Amino acid sequence: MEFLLENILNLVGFLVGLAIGIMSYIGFRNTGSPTLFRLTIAFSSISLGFFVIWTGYMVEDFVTKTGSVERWIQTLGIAIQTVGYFFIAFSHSIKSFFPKSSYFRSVGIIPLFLVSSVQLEHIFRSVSFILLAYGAIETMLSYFDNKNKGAISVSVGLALLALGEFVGWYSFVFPESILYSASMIIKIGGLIALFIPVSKVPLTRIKFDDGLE
Amino acid sequence: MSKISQSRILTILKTLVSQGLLEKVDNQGSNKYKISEPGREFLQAYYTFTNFADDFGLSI
Repeated sequence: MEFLLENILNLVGFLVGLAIGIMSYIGFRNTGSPTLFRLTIAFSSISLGFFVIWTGYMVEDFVTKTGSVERWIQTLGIAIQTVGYFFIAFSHSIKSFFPKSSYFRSVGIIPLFLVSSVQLEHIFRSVSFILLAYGAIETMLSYFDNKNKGAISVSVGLALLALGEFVGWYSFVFPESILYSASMIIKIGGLIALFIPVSKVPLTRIKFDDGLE
Repeated sequence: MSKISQSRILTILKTLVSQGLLEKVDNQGSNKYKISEPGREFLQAYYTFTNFADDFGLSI
């Protein structure tokens, strides 16, 4: 059951992240917006992170058949996702703290994580939780400013991903309970909520235009 | 608009024309400009992605 849910979660995460990443990239190509560039990096990372873990499960299922995924693959995938969550939170922090700074708006900061613990996965999950919670709160605050209903969906999505991380972390305390499965179901719900506003973008009116710099 | 100097607005118009977003229309000695088809498409894309960024609580 957990194996199936894990596969569904990682596949949905990969596809949703990829769809939002591509949409952000098309937006960046059409408008040159640094915000959309950061969203491209964010969701490309999230998508890649889910893909790495999904690949790990597939390799385990069809090739190695060891009964468990290599720990380093899981940690690598979560680390890549954390970079994505960082860029979402980073975009909000720029908007909140440096609204007029051309340096931060154009250049950005390359995230650097220096860790040496064997508990890397737990660290990344903790960082992800904080970044997701921050992103969810900022997105909800922006809803109060502009009343854009899509922001509610994104905020709920990020909040569910954060809750999923929290419940997933708690499952380490109670390993035999239903908490881990619950965390994956919550995360899948979060990814679907993230995708709802993106699915409403009118694709037929968007195209690349190489003539625009 | 009134706070932009003539030289500044001419530079902006020249840039927009060079990028194909505006078209210069020679009308009895006076220079007039109109939005081009690529310009309309750019505005449409800009509007679309402004809403897209709004969904994430961000602005482009």
